[in-house]
Amino acid sequence: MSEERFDCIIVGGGLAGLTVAYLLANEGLEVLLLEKGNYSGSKNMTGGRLYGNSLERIIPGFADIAPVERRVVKERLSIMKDTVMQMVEYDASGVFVQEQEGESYTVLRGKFDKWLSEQAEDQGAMLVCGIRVDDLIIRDGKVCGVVANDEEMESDVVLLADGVNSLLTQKLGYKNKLGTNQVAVGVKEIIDLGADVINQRFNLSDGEGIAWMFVDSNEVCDGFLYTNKDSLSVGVTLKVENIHKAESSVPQMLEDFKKLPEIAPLVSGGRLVEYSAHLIPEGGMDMVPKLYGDGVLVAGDAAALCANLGFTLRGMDLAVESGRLAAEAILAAKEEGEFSEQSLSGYQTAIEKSAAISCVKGAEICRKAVTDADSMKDPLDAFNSALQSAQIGGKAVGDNG
Amino acid sequence: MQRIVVCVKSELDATGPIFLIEPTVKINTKDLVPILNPADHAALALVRNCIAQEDGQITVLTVGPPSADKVLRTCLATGADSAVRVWDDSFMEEKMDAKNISLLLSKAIKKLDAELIVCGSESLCETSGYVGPALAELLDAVQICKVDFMQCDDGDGSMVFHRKHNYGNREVISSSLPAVVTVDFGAATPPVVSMKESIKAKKMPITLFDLAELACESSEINADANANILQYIPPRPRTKKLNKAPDKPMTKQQKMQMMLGGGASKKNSSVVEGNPKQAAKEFIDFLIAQRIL
Repeated sequence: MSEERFDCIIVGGGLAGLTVAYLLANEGLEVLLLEKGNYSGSKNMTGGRLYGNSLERIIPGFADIAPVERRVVKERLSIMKDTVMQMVEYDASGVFVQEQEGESYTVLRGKFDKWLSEQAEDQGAMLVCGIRVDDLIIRDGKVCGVVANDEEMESDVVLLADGVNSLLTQKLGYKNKLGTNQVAVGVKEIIDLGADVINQRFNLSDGEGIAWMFVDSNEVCDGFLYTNKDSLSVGVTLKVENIHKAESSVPQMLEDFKKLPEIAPLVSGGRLVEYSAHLIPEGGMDMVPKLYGDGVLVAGDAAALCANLGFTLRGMDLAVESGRLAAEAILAAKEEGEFSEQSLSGYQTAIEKSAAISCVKGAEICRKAVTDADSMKDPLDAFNSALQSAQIGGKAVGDNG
Repeated sequence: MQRIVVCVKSELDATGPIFLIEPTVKINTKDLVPILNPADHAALALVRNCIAQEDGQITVLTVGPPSADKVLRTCLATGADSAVRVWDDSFMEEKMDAKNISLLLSKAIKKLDAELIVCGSESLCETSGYVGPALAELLDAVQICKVDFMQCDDGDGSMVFHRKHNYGNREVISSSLPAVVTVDFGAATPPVVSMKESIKAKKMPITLFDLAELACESSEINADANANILQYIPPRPRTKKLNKAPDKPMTKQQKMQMMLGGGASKKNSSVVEGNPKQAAKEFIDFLIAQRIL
């Protein structure tokens, strides 16, 4: 038995884990967050766009103090069909998602997560970096703590936010090994250009950004481009099950993508400063595992909460939202005085009812509507109605359940 | 029980993305992460390996703003028993050159009444290797550089130090205390950080020494530096004899080798081709021919 005990141990210092740490520490709980990297954000990666509302609820006005790169004011969507590419550009504020989820910002996780971890530490959470959690302590089916490098640490409740390839939820049996139809691989380059060049090339003012998605109707290789403060995030994503359709390797796809006549002039003269790759959960609601157990909750990418809506990709705001709901569930369970499966079960219901997270259900329908050639006539209307119908459908399922 | 001070420095992780503000002069350090100077970490690990906790209490000492606490906690998690940070609000970070740092460290060491003072031989950023020798001068102590082993001599309180020389030769020195010892990066491998030690280290107090505590005048510290860096001259870029792959029929590997080598590949090197079995055979034949096997 260890002499020390925490109220909650959080595995993983991404947005979901940090949100829970922030909220629980704010309520005065003893929280320990274990992160594998040397600091929060050192191993975290995304394309780069965060919808603000879910974090705004936790830290009002975060965009003014956090190291966000640019506020997205313009959206572009290109639909690639064989060799033909059509592009629409529209004002970000007219999109249904933005109306619901607030302003969106481009972020670089290395900076942003580091900032959020400092906020959580200010609230009193204990962050320990450089520790990989190998296993969970399970007694009579109840999760009692974590094992890292043969050391044990106990807590009332453990929150698993260990990312898309969550080995701990697999160990608990909540999730199987990732299937090829469940994940996409994303590869991203950050290309340094300087703020002035970006403003000029994209016709932006300081602090304003663009989010540009490329959807491949053959479902081989999607692409994205986001503007950061001084750099561009350019990348491609490929659903692993479609890899047989691809004619080149994934890194080569990114090279080819950068050579497209639409992209080449925008990145020319830039300096590559970062190259990264990551898995993206795209299995929709079917991939979402059981999210609670005796003494344990699952949040963020580990819970497969990510939605590829075609014209946008959401994951970070869902991670924050799931973190908030998990923190609420833990606080409610603490009130009850026990962290049993029963008392934590409200979390799964809350996730299923959450308006933000319902987009995971509609993701596939929405992406299909985007690739549908007809949608090009009036793309905005098509996406919005597709998303709305998906949301309503999701709501109905939630209510019945 | 010995009183040991290990002087450490909070450095910026040089593996992070590095951007220059003015070409070849200043690095944009805003987004770099603080880490413990590797040579200092080796110094701490060496002391802990050689001197057990019941024989010597290690205090880690640094000069730096509150952000330096992070590396002190790293030290506390990997063998140090207590930590002291020297800082005063009147300090200006740009005036904190090696001379001022040495002065502050020496005052703090006198206050801590340390017998053995251990430093990393040089820091990651400036690599001047100034602080160790300067401390020995200021403290009027023995100075021993590049130590890779130490041992207490039971009899008269002196200590034995080993210095490594070329070709495996070693120099064994017996010295009285106080002594200032510097340790090279690589002399000892720091232990893997353990979860429990990290948690314990997070809760340990860090003592702060300010100017009043050190009985020191701010005019002593904030005086203008004696030496300034005027210019940093990077090496002239090497001219490549060949920057284009030759048209001769060659394999891709040969072309790569030619381009990387900046000219025709050297006489003695060759590319082994074929399946792994053939390649291995060819490789072994080569080693036999060279009388290596």
